[in-house]
Amino acid sequence: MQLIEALFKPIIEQMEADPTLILKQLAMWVIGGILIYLAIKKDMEPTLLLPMGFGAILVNLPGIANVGGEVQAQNGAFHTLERLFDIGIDNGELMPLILFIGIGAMIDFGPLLRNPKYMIFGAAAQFGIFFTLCLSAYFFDLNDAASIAIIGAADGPTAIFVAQTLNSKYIAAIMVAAYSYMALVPLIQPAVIKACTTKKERLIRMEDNGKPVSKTTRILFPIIVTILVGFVAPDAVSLIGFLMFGNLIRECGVLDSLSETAQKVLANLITIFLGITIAFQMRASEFLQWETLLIMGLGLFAFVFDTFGGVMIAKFMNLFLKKKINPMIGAAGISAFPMAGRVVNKMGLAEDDQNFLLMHAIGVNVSGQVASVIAGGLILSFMAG
Amino acid sequence: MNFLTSTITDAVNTATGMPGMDGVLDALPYMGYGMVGIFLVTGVIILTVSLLNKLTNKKDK
Repeated sequence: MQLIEALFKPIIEQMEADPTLILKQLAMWVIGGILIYLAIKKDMEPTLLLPMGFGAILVNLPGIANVGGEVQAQNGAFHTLERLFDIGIDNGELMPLILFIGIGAMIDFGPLLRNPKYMIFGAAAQFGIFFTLCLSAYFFDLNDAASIAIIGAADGPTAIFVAQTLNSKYIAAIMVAAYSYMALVPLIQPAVIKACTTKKERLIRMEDNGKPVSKTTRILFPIIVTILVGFVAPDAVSLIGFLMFGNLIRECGVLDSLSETAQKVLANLITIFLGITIAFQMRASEFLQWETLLIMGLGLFAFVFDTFGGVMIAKFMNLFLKKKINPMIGAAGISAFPMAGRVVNKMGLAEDDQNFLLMHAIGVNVSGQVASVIAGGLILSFMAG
Repeated sequence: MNFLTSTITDAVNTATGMPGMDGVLDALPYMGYGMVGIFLVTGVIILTVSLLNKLTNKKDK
């Protein structure tokens, strides 16, 4: 009997303090299991959903989670995750920022630089963020509403950065929503695109203008964008600065080894820790609230209206253009890179097997990456003001 | 009827602590500022990149 008591001491102590918590923790194991299943079986953002799923189980083991808001046991794993969260996310949002160096090094802005007007689609595709900000403000205070709205950017690091800077208490739910919807781009976007375009519009072919981009432009672009955004949205300068720093490493031509490290080793390393660190916030007592479901719903709303905004601006521009644009490329203006671009290309080929939209869609997609960071910066500036 | 609906909505909002329509009205200007702001910044980026392309392509030729 004593042996059993000793073995199950943490569970017994927890049951005495809060009898219902064990049920909530079991529910979190199921959620963690679902995330792991989606990552492995459905290949949905496995780099993040798998660590988050495992972390959700880890922080909800009996006896090591919060009881009545206080940590009950001095468990190593729990406190290690807490420390990682403090260092990597809570203090200066280091992890999302460092990850942005890797993302910047991965992005080829060439297709955008050949057609700078594609930035318009990137801007329009942030409509869902600002529209959802209004809707979320019905249910949440402004800071939380803004953090939830940024899910529409389909940009994990920006979502973490904004939510953490605005001190949102829903960061875990926001993260799960942001990465789940990024993984669901191939399911969500085609439905929205088809709903707001005609078959005739989807059949529009686009030529590649094929203009070369000079190395000078490629090198100056990240520097100029950083300076511009620094003036307009100083709160986003660290985000855009790290993204563009990564891109400068890539484009300068003398730091190939660093560029390769940033793209692969650095990005992978941070990704491993980011997922499991975010899971620290997935404690049953904080995650299992009706607000989590509401946030998932609002995130989907933001995502749908981002896609809608991008498509509609292309349709609007077609009213005035001689050379029509295939409005589907507007949908690629979200930040989910390169998935959104690929989805649009696939849809174009499904309508007409000679309609290659990839270069245009990728140009719009990278503009969405920049525009989502600007949108995040503007939101931070508004909330700070 | 409208009075009844608004009273019930207010009561639910007060009970749940939601900002309700006041929150929406507070957030509405940010939607306008945000969309105008993002188009302005991207407009400047488009102009700058176009200028860069012109200048550097001439130089390359």
